Amino acid sequence: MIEILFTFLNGLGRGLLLFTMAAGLSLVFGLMSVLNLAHGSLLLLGGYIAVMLASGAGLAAALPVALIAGAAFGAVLYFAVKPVMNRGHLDQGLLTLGIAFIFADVAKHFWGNDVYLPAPPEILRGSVGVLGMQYPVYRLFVIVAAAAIALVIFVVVERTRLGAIVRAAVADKQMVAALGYRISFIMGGVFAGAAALAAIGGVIGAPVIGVRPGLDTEMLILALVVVVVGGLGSLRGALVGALLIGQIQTLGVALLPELSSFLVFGVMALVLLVKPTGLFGKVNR
Amino acid sequence: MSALLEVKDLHAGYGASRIVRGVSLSVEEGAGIVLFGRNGVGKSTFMQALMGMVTPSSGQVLLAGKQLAGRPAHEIAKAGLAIVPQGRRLFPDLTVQENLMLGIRQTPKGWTLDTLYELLPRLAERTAQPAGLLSGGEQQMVAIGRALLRNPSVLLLDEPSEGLAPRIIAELAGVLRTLRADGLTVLIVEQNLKLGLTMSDHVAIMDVGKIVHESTVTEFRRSPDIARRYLGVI
Ligand SMILES: Nc1ncnc2c1ncn2[C@@H]1O[C@H](COP(=O)(O)OP(=O)(O)OP(=O)(O)O)[C@@H](O)[C@H]1O
Ligand SMILES: [Mg+2]
Repeated sequence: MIEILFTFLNGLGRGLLLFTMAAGLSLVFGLMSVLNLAHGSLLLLGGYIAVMLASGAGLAAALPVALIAGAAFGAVLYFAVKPVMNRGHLDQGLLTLGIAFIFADVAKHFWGNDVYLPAPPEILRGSVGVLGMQYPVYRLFVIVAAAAIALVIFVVVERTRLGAIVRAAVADKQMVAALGYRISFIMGGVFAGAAALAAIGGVIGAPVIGVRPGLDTEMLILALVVVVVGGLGSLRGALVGALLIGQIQTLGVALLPELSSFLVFGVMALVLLVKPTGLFGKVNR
Repeated sequence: MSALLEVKDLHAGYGASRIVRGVSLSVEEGAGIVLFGRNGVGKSTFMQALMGMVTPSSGQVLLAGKQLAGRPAHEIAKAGLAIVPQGRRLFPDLTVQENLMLGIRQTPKGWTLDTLYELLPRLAERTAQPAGLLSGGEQQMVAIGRALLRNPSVLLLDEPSEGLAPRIIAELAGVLRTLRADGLTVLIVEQNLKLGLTMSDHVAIMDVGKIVHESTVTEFRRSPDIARRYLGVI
């Protein structure tokens, strides 16, 4: 029984982490209709920043660094994508995938093929007893921190003036421009914000998911599944999709290990069969 | 003495199709000008070209002497033009309040959310509703409110009465007349002659991308053959 609870908690943490990535992916797609295949690189960037700083300055110090580095990388990505914005998904996909490959190679050059598990801060080490079993404190922290980030994302997007501008731009950029807002700032800002979120997710997740080559594509694919299941461009959909995929992954590994990788895509196929726009999607793009 | 809004030989279109073909028009401060014209002659393209939503290929748009033609829409908005576009173009998933909020540009004596809700009390009861769920008339009021909150020096209105019931059009006319009486400078495109004339002092008629008639409203009312000739109405 308690194992099920732990599996559930693991899935919850995983799902919420996935959301920090999927939210940005979905927002960028909703706003610019650009599928950013370099989004996984940002998580990996955050992960390696955590690796570098955890042993010295500490994991907490990695957060602001990842925020700034992620936003900067995001801004660079925006300027790279801008010229091909009206050129269709294939061109954008090839461009961003190319950037992801370059980043992966550069990362491998510096950090090799090792799997790093940076140490959590002192106070978050060890474990707590739950009904006679031990659960790592840091995993609980991942749940709390990622949930807090998710909350911040929702508040900013749904409850602030800035968020209203972004949502308006998703609907009608030209009209937003006619109200005096500079669309390229909005798009660049969303790109940078989405990138910073993914990098921060990488820092928080680093001690539990293991920073290694290939993590970028692995997480990108999961995030894409999340976004497709939830509905492209929908923040709510991304949250529900992320929580769902998080559970399916951990439950799948626990209960049906030999089918676990199939399950995630099976669910995606099933959702697409029943509702081609995804759970919360409105239009089929 | 030049007019507040001075358009000189403006050309605009979409790719190879030239729609606006040399339009010149002056709008004096405090004036109301109504632009009539049959379907598809280029009225909306002209209005969007003024706003920078369509980029003019040549010509000038001077607002208080400042050249706006060729500037991006957000700069033109900041310079003091605001548009209520044809079809309203609200952000349907955003609430009424959010739609209005996006228009806010504070000026010392201008419109605020509070004074706007006094003018349009019905919207005050709907602030939290998604704009897309409002009736056509209410949506038009939101579109007008959003533009008013920008406190523009010239308000561009593109067929505000389109698709509205007569009773709602009368209500709309009341609001627009109040604004005009307040001294707001307005350039309005209308198919509804009565509404267009009641709030204007000048008439211009567009036919295939050109202004083919200009007069005062009084002159226009006195010579019904103008309307017959260019607009095909009796
Ligand atoms: N985005 C566009 N791309 C290409 N052509 C367009 C576009 N918008 C309008 N047109 C064309 O330009 C011409 C003028 O359209 P416009 O909307 O300016 O006319 P209008 O006078 O406002 O008509 P209405 O009274 O029906 O609103 C039409 O032939 C129309 O088909
Ligand atoms: Mg029109």
